[in-house]
Amino acid sequence: MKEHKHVPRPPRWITWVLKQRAQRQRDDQIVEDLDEVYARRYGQEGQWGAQWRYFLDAWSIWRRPRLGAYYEQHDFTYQQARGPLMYKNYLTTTLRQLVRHKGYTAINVLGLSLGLACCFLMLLFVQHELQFDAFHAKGDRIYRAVSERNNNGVVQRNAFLASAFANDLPTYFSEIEDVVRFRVDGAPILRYNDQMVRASGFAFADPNMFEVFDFELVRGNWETALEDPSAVLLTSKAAFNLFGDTDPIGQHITYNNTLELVVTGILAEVPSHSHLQFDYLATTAVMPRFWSENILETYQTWLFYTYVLLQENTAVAHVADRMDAFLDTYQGEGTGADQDLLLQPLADVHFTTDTQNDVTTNRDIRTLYIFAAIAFLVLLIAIVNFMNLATARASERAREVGLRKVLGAQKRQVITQFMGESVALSSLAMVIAGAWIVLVWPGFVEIVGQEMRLMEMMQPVLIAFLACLAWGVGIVAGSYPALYLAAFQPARVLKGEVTRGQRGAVLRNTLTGLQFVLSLFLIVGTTTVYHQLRFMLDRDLGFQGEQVIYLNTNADIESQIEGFKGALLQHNRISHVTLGGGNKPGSGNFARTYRVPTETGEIAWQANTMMIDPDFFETLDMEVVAGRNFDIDRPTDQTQAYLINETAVRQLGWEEPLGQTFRVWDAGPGEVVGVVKDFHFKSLHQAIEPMVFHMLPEGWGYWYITARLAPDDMTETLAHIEREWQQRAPDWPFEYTFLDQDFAQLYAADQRTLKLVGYIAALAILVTCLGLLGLAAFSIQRRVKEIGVRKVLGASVPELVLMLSKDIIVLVGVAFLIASPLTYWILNQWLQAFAYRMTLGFGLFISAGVLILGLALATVSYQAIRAAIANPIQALRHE
Amino acid sequence: MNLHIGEFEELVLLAVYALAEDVYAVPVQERIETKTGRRATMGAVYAALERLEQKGMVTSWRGEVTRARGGKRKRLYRITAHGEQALYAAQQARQAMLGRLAWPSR
Repeated sequence: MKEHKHVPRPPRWITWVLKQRAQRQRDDQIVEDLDEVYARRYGQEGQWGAQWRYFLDAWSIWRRPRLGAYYEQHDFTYQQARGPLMYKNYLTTTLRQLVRHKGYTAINVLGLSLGLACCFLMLLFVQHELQFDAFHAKGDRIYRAVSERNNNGVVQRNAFLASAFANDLPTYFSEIEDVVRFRVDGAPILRYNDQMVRASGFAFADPNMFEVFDFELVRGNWETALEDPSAVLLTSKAAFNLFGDTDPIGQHITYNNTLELVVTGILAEVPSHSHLQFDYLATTAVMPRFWSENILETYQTWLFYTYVLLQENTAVAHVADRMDAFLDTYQGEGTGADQDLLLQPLADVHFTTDTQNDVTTNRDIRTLYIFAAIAFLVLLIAIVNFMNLATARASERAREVGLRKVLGAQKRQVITQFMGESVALSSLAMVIAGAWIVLVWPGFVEIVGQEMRLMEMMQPVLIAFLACLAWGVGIVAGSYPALYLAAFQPARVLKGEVTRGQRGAVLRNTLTGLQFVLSLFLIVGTTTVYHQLRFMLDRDLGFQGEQVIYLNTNADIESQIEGFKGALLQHNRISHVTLGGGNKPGSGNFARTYRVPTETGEIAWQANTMMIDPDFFETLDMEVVAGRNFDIDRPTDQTQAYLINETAVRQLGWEEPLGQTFRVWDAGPGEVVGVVKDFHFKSLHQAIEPMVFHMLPEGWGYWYITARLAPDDMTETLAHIEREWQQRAPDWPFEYTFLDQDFAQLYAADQRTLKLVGYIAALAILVTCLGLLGLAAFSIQRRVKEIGVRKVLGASVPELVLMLSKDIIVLVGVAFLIASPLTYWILNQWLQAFAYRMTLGFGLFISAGVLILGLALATVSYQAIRAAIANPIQALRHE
Repeated sequence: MNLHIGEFEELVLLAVYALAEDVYAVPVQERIETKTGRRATMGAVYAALERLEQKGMVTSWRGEVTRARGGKRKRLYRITAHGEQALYAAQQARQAMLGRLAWPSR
């Protein structure tokens, strides 16, 4: 018979500290001993005396760390608490466990590996983006100059600068050590002997390029490579295409059949994390030969990316502050007011998205945040799964834990054992994740739209980091189940008192609910992106792009351009032909500066420009809403007439645009003779920008020939055009592009986003369902007896299935309520980035919710139905 | 044979000697406190017992697992012959030092 007297307890915190020491077998008596002493003192000296002595005793033990060491060595009744033998046992147990419950193991490892793979991929991508342009030694002194204009309150930034800036900036600012101009120009034809290649990525740069930027040469000397104005460098791949096995160094190639260039070196392939991309590099010195003569010294045409290298230890503010004065000096009084030249640090260039004519690979830095967030979210789902499954199944291991404790295992050891198990599982998951990554990499690169080379990125530091991440996940995910298990008390567990799986049910359900919320968010996100994309693609662009092809001109065809145009028009299935230059729908990289008189004086105004002939608007089915088109019979139209679009009118604030005059920089004034209805010549991401149309200036050549074809028998029509072409320009390959296809390319990035979000959504749902599968299997198994009893008492199969699925339904419902407002808000934010956007409707959310519910039910129902159909005798047999 | 033990160790050894059975740290500490009026912290007692065993003056073994102590086994001690010799030697030393002095009665 036990007597329960009131036993005084010593201060708990001291006891706790002592307990930490008592984890070792040799010290495990100290807590109980001190309790005895405490009880005695309590009777003798009262509570305070007892507590004080307790503290002293505890301290006297604490300050003797080597207590019991002698016994540990000499007493063989102590079990080896640590040591290789114990770990071998853990390993055996773990392996046995994993093999016996293959299903559970598979689900867990699969889910975790998917989560890890997704997370790794995102991290790799984020790291790649953050590394952009980091490889230049002088990078922290390099700034890109970008022009900023304030046109009537609208701020426009342009990455293209006029060439003269590069000449004048270093003269004015002593802080500038060097300036480099850079331009990627078209897709020229390169010829070596009879080998002809259409080059892409052909760039021009000032000869001091390598003194500022660190691009490597495989062959050749960077100090001298660009000395010769006719020099050209190319990558070894490009060289092979052109030269085959011949040594390219010193060879001559022709550029667009007009220019002769000599190869002075071989470029190493430009790393993917550089915003300057090129496969060929020539010097700017040759440009005057095929542009205008003063192309390198003008403020009229803006074509070059301009990079400034500051002297060491110069604050960029020194230069920026005096920029107004500079502009006034070189561009005329007063231009400093509404124009500014910004200096962008090199590291920021990749993340600029608000600048016209910028490199297409630029990315909004918010995209990176989103990617990182996604990585984290998916990983979270996977970890949640892991924890859920592990704790649910914990009660299976309860007896093992109880037995271990009885045999003398310390809590610490039990924890170690189960942590070890999860780390083992997560290591396995990590290996499988590695396999996923390698498999999926090409697809991933394509979806992300950024060229990345896996081999390049797999540096030891990164791999070590990823491994630590995987182990970290294993520890974090395993900690909760391990603690849960280690807390089992042997006596209760061995008697079977522990109600299986009951503990922590609330937490598990919360975690599953969290997974549903995330999945809902991702589904709605995906459908939204899809709809927005469709919206943009289906929208009326303001011009007719179907069955319209365009061809790039060249020197030969240009000299016979009128003849060519006439010959084409003679064909009965070619309805319109027009010649143009500057911008075309789908690209906006030609801008000119105009001087526009306003009430406050002349302002410098930059606008996209198309140089056209009078047939242009008809060919593309565009509307002139005021005034008239260019007239071939009016000679003044050639140089003194402009058409502008509606947005231009708005920007310039003219109520009556017809008759207003303005002029190109240095030329004479021209009159606005007509207004064109706004049309989208860039992607619907951006609002329509102002556009100026004028006829081709004297001495300029046309850039494009655009023709509208009849839809039937286009093959034949194209063949005809090709024949006409070959007659006049046999040295040039016949290449054409369809305008609408070209335009659709603008949405390539969005297509990719769609794919990416779609895949992630699918992945998240897959992982969630996997987790659900495991949990459902387990929880239903637990209720086998209950089902048996109910069945005997007359419940029908549908009733039983409903009962078993009820929890899931409630969970999905709650998740839906939580997810919807959050998702709505977040997606709204994303849609703000589009000038033309769709509306978020309820239908979207409802259908997503229904989808999730359906999937969840489907996952659970298999187990539920099986259990409901089972013979109750089996379940109740062992009562 | 080294029979040297420290002063506190001597007290502990005497306690072990005197307590017939069930000798572990707690009764030793209690005896010292009640018999000599000195405070002995448990840490000191544990350490002394361990040192005595190292010197071979006591032997110890672990007691049974009991419910009362939550399964934690006590370490129980018994004096050895060597230990008895040490005690005797210590007593002799005291007597020798005292010589024929008697305590003054005041």
